Amino acid sequence: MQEWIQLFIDGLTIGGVYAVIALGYTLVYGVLRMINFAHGELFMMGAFTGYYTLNGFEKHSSLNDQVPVFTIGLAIVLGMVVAVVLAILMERIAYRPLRHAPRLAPLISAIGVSIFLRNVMLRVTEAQGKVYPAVFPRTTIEYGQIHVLYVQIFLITLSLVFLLLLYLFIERTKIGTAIRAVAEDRGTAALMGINVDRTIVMTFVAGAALAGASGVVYGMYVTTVTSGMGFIPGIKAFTAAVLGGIGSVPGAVAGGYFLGITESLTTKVFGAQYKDVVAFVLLVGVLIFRPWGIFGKREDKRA
Amino acid sequence: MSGGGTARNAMRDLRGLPERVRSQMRATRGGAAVVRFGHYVLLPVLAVAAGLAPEHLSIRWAFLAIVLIAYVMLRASSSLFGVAVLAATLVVLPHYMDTFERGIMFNIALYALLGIGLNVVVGYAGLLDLGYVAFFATGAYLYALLAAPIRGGGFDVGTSFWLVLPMAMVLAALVGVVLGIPVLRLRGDYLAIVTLGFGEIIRIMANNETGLTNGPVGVFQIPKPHFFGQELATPFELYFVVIAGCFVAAFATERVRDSRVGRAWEAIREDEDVAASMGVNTTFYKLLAFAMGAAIGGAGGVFFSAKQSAIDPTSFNLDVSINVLALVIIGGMGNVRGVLLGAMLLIGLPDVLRDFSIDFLFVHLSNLGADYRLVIFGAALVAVMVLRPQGLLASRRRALEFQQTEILESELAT
Repeated sequence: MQEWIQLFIDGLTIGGVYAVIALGYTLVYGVLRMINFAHGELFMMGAFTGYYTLNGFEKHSSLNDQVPVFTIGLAIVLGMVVAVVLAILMERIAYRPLRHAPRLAPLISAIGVSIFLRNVMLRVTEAQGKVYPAVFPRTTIEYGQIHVLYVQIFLITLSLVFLLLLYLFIERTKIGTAIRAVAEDRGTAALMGINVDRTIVMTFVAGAALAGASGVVYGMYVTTVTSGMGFIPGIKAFTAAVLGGIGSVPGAVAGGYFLGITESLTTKVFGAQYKDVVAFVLLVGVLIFRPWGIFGKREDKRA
Repeated sequence: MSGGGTARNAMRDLRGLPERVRSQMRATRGGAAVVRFGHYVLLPVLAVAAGLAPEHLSIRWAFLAIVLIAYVMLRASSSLFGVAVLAATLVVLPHYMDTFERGIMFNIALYALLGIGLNVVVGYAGLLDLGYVAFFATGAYLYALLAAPIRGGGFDVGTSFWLVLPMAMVLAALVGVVLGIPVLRLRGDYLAIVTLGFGEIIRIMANNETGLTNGPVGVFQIPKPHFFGQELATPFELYFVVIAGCFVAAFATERVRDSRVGRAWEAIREDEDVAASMGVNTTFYKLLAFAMGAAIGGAGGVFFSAKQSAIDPTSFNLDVSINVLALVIIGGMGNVRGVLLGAMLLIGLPDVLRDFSIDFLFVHLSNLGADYRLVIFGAALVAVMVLRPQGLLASRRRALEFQQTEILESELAT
């Protein structure tokens, strides 16, 4: 039993990460009807920004030890900033010129951005994984057979905070309202005086900020970051977004936690090496039998 | 509304023109003939000369010359003569290359073959497949497992290469259909992600199903094929087999494209719903595209494992699918000429520029071809989509589709 609880907590941790990344997919899909293939790479770039920030403090001062709250906070903020800047650039360069092109074109362009960022980082890091400085004690809270890292608790909490912030942003702010309006009907939104281009950029910004920040925290959790690290979480988060019904914000959150926990629990059944296969099978299953998502509402002509 | 209408208008305009203008236009056509003479006669001569005198002219320049010829020639026309000259160049030139360069030529030929296969799926039927490596792996493992001895991780069935080749094509086609059935209802983005998932699943299975595939260790001591008693031991000898395969595949796929089947694919690509309502059996034709593309990919896998003599799951990662997709798209979707050019540019050029480096101000990029190849691929994919979405050498119809959507959309927007 305790083993299951352990797996559940691990699943909750990774599920939070999926949920936060999945929001980026869902938001962009909502306004552009396009899958931002390079979204996982924003997550990766955030993780690397966090690494370089914390590593800089580790080398040149003792701030990591004295005020870890400050350095961690700064790493997260910088991770967000880098991801946001990249997202704005990619929207401008690779996606906006293709808004009226056939649907295949922005998708291929996004794949290009993803390959580009991944391999730039591969060169920058010289294909070496980077190890995060130990800003969190690697000791665990123990309860019988259950071990929980401090950083796991931090990650679970932070994911919930991000989700809450995003919810407030979408529901309560003017920009959030604009995003919802554009997602509903771009043409009508434009007629109502909404600046569609700016709203689309803001959607990318919101998604990227979340991805960048969760990249930093995820880096602290897994400790080793590589240039390819965004790929699998990116696909998983996409799966999560599809599970919850792509385009739906609560769906992405539910899908993220659902996928994280399912994946974690099934490692006990099929073994850890088939973890990724479980996610893909879920994705295919949902797309075939319930393309509007487990939690989404049915719509004609999807997928 | 349609391309046909525009062409008819152009014809009418030409008829109504005064004789003076018409004669001028005819003269321009004569000029084009002169240019074509240059493409067909002078450039190949230059290339062969470059190949004949390797000690005087670096092979890199010879290779660049081939690419240039291929581009200009393929661009000018797709006539049989042009193809014949290109084929002659591809067959003659490697005789004057060293082992390393012959290895590059083999890779180009192999990826051209894979590109021709993927082109059926992506270019003709318009189904974005990111898991093409699955079929490549199927073919490679089938030959490796059947032909390699037990201590090499195989089953020592000792099946001949020439027997495995059709078997691999059939098996890969079956895999293509099996993977194709669940994704029949998916389009565009979803299809891309799910096929990507299939490619990864095949790799993960090759890695974990140790009993069947020998797991991460892979299969080694894969024997070389024999051709009328002579062993095809080097990549150079295998190169000609692959080139032959390319031409067969190119011929076959272009013939199919021009048939009833090809028209059905075209209809599905342009609008699946309309195609279905016009009575096109979309299920059948989509699966046929998957099967045909997969069969060619399977053949490519057999050639690959015959050349490698040892394979393991790391050879079958997502990069293979991306390389093949990139060369199809950058070269020009929907035609074999584009695929050929794409393979030369994307697979050949990085290797030719392997130890080429740039020193610019504070930037020092060494080993440009090997290390930065994927960085450049990524940027090139974006650039091609934004600047020339039909690819460097597009089929005319495909180019028109890309333009039309833009016109239609902009008409709707205003």
